[in-house]
Amino acid sequence: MQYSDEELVERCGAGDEESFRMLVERYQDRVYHIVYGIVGHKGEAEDLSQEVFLRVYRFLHCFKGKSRFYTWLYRLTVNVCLSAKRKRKNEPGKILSLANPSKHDDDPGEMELADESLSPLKVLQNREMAETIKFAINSLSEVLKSTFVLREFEELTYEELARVFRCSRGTIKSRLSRAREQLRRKIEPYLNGVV
Amino acid sequence: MSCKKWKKKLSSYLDNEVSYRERLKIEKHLKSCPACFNEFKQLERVHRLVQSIQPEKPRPGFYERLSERLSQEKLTLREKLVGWRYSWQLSFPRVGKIAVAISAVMLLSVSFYIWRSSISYEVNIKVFEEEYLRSQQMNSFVGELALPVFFEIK
Repeated sequence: MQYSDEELVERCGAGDEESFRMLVERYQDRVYHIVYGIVGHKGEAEDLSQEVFLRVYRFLHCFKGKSRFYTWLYRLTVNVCLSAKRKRKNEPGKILSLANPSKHDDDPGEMELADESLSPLKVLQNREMAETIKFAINSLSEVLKSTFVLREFEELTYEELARVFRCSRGTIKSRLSRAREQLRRKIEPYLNGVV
Repeated sequence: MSCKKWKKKLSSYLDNEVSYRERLKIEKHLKSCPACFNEFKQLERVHRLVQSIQPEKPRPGFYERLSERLSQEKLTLREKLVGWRYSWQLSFPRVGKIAVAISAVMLLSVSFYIWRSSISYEVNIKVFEEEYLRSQQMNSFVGELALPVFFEIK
């Protein structure tokens, strides 16, 4: 049986561990993708995604159902990422970013572009382009990046984004416009080959 | 409107987050302004590229690893509770526990006594007046009779 988010949340509140598992499995990929988009490191993305769900487990009783569950979850996700970033800034010698992907086996630091074409040249071009995009996204400020990632990866509407970031729709509009403009300028030289 | 202002609207136009009237205005401007049109096409390409990035997925067994962390957290909580009980046992041996219990009973008794004694007695003026007038009419002192009436326990 397919339960809605709200039903699962209610069952979790009643202490049903199975509902919590279903909730995690429903959102784990999306949360991970967002976290990876913001922090840019696979190992850390795993750790922070788990931290997000640990917080969900701890604070689910605070969710009153006034908004959709996923906006609450995404808000939690963004908060976890931003506070991790802040902590990392204060730790010298531990600077990881999309621009400096880890060489660890577990984390090849590659984000490939989905393409049906399998020619080696195309794959190489795609990887290069993916690296360029990663670099460009990573160069955005934390707030612009998280707004952009939620819009592009999760396709949240401006209204939903405003609820996640607790700001006005106009602020979201302006953030996305600035983020896109900065990205466009950064990858402009590479855009000619893209149709 | 200057091109700078139009360009600011391109992002929300791309996301289809503009009103119908605004959409028409933007489209009209894009038809007449090659610079803005070119910029819009570039934004479209950026959007398409970002959209084509394959979503990252966590390694298999994500829930199992999370579950492990959760059980560790629960264990920590249990350890804290057990630790509290342990410290209670350590700091209060058997004789000490009896002393604590006696003190608690004494404290409760004293509190109850203080509470009872704080109950006030008030003079019922109306009843007193009636009795006084009646005694005046009878031209006699009826203090003994009036006393239990005008002191009323609240």
